[in-house]
Amino acid sequence: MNLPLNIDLQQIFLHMLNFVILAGGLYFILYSPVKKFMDQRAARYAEMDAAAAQKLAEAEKLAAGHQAQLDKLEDELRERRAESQKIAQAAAQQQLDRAQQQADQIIAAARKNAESIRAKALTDSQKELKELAMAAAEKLALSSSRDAFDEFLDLAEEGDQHEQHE
Amino acid sequence: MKQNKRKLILWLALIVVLAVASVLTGGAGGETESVQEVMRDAVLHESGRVSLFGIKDVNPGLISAYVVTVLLLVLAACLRIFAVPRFQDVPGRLQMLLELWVGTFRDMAEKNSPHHNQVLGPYLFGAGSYIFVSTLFEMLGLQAVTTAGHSIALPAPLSDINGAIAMGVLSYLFILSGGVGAVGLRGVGRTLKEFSLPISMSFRLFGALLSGLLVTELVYFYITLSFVLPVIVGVLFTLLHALIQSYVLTMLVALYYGEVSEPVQPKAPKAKRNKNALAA
Repeated sequence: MNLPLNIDLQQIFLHMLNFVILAGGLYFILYSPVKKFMDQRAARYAEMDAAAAQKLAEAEKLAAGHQAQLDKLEDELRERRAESQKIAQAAAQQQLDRAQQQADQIIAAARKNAESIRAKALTDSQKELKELAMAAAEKLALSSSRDAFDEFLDLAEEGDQHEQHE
Repeated sequence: MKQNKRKLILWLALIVVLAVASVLTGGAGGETESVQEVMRDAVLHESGRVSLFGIKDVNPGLISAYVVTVLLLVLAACLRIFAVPRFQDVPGRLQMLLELWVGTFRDMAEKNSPHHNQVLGPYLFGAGSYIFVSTLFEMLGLQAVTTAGHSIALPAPLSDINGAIAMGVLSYLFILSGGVGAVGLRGVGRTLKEFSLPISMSFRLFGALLSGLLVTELVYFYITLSFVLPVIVGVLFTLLHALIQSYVLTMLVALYYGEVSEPVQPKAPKAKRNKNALAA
């Protein structure tokens, strides 16, 4: 069958046959094995990737658990610290109260002691004063009687002298 | 002594240059036919026909196609036997090249036809490899004897119009089969809508490869143009042709295949559609 431009149907079919043989041959000999290898490798890498992702997720979960435990411990520690601080404060307060009480007692005893000393000193001083006053009065009394006697004697002596002169 | 030697070399060089110039600028060379005949024969192959195993006289392009097929299949078999079993997870140069070769067409198929690409990848691989290698094949300059007893260099198979038509029509039928396989009769309708596709694909291939062939024929027709220039027109143009044509045809096939095999979207219910229209 002759067509323009030397187109030949038989040759077209021969070209088609040739290409079908080539495409099929290339597919079975080369394309399929290479693609199979690439797919298997991709699947293997995907599997490794998934395993790595799973391990990562597990590790993250473990880390989160540890973090939670750490947080719990931290809270507990904080609570215990606060509790012990409270106990220490109470003990200190108790000691302070006791010290205050002791101080009060000491002050009271000292005050009482001072009072008794003061009273004793007062009585002693009053007694001493009384004794001094008595001594002084006695001394005064003695000295005044002697002076009067002396004065009398002096006067008496003066009177005699006068009479003699006259 | 040294000066005489230099003069002698200069004299001999001058003789060689003049001799070459006189040969090159002399007659029309060894041409036995006019440039018009050469061009016409390159297009139509009316006189330069080759016998196919003594059964039939065919265009030399068909012989080239068979040679290319044999070469490619032998190469594939060698690679399958010697290279593929030694593939490793960390690829060497050859493995990378093979993976790139296969991966390019597989990715093209998956990208352009995401729903239906089981057969598309191998077809694109075969077509791309065939067009690329068969275009480069003309650079080998393998000789064949015509029925008239002349020697001719085997051309690129696709510069034969029968080869180009075969490729275009086969690609169209392949697209049609993809449409039918994916969406049934709807696929036939979608493919028939692009009725000009086989003609455009065939003649694009034929025109592109024939233009390269004609330029090469023209360059080689004159012996004076047969130095240095063929490196550019013969090698670089052919390489570019091989890359561009294999890319264009495989890309077109992948695009149309993806288009005709696209799954049918279920129609939205009428009430919902009315509601949407009202909302709009």
